[in-house]
Amino acid sequence: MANNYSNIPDETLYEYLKSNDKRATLNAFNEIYRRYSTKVYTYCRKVLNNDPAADDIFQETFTRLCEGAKNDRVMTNLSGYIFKIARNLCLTEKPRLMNVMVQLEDIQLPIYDKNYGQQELENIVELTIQSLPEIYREVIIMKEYMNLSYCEISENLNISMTVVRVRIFRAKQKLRELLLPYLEDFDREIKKQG
Amino acid sequence: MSLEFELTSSEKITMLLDGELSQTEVGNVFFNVAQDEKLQQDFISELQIRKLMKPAAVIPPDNLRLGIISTLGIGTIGFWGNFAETSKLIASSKVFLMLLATITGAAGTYLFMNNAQNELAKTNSAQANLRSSNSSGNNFNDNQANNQSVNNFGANNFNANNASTNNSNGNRNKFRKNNLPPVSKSTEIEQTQELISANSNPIVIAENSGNAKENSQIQVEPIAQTINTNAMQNSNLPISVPIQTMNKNEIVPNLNLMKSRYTNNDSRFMATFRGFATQNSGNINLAPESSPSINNIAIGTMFEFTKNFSAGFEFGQENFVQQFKVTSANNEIDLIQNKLAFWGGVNLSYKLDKIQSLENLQPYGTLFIGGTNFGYITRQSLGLNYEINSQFAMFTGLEYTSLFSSYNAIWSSSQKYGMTYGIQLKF
Repeated sequence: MANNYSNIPDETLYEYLKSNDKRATLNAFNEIYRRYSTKVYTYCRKVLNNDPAADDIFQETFTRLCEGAKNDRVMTNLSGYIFKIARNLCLTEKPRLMNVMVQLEDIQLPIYDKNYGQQELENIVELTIQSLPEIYREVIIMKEYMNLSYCEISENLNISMTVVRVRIFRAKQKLRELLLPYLEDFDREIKKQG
Repeated sequence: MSLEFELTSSEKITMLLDGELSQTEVGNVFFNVAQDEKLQQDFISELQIRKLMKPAAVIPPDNLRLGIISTLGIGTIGFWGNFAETSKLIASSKVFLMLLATITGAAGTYLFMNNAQNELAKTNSAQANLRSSNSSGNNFNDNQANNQSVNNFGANNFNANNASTNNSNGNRNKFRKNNLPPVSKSTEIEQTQELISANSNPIVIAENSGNAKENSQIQVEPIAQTINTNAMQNSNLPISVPIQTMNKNEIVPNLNLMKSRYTNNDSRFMATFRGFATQNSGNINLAPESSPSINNIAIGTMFEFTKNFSAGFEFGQENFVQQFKVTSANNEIDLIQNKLAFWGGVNLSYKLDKIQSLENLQPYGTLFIGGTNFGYITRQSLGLNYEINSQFAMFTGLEYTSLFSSYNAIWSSSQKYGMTYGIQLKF
């Protein structure tokens, strides 16, 4: 199904989303989903830090993408468009999540198939990223988790490359400061794993 | 890009590791790092942080995609598209094999039991009698049923002129067995069997006086006349008791509901306790002891295939009221029994997302298909689920249950519908 569409460029796939042929629309959607779902989902999870809300935003992103295709929009940068939708939705959702109260007994700690030390370090990194100011956190997530280039980040956030570079550098400096005490532990974990 | 005069060495290291430097700039950065011990420290710590921050990407669960497709209506179309996609997930799961084995086991058990029952019926059907006995309650059970006499159904009970019956407009009046007047033992109502054999639950026999029905298959003679049971054959039973199914309103216990967790491939055991109101509407009134307030207890396990779709199997017990209507030239008799069924089968559930504006209530729909010790059973319900916490949930909704059983190759059914409510413990 999706194999036939894997070589089709984004813009053409987007055109297929407008088609009245459901099969073509479905195949185009599946291919776009295959290409971008992991990045978008990662972004939503990391930015919102709330799994159910991230699921909703993730679904809403692709739903809006497909619904928007019905308009006569000419697509030139599909990935940027998708991330822009996701980002806008996350920005809208985030203030609402701030006010959500979660009861203590509803909090379930995840069980990991990893050793405790490594998991603890990952949790610390996660917390550290969450503690960054919004402007730094966003670029770090896009760079480290979504693997976007500086150029793509600047397009998605609508800021200059220089600003992206500076924000990433400052974000990493802050991370280094916060994580410095744990880097020795991290070294030990790496050595343990051989 | 040329950043030679704009960037510090630390910034260049960051850009290097981000893959944002040209080959020429990379060479320069490595040269600088080799010369400067502090830059080497920066380089190492930068690498360490990158490693720390490089977890695997978070792959979205497939049910999210299914949800989008369903919302957009670009699947096979709405629910069925989702169902088809979900079926693929189910078919590729080990749990599917487990469920399949359960279905096969349940069906096999029913067939085995049903065959045994038929064998018994062939042997004894002509001899099986039902005789009304004392006005105090009579119990019948499966072992006795094929050859049981229930005395005391007096002929005057079948008399259309009986003062205690109301025959006007053909309306049926039913009398509790206890209310029947003393009767002569000379009349026997003979009936082929296991239909009434039932179980240890009380059988309530009611009597109606009514107009003769041309197509009556029951030969119930007036006073002091005995029906010759030897004349009965399976093929043309005078009292073949082809069962007329009944509809009755009854509040019925419910099925399992399931958990609402996002994790896939994780099953949890659940014990479900269901309740139903003790009052029955319609034309059947059973005493509370015949219709216990909690008569449906089930235990089962559910498996969450997607966020919305779960399936599993469960076993339990439940009472079914069955009504057999027999008529004669002048009389109509209602035989009512409250039969206990042990059932097991597969439970499928589809849940919608929690409604945040309604205290996170979660609409659900379930379909149960299974077998009992005397027939097949299906159950559908729609309702709302409320999770008090991760291990305790309450639910309520509407339910419709059908029991299908056969007698002499004639299939009949008993239906129940009503409001269901209960609690569910997960552990």
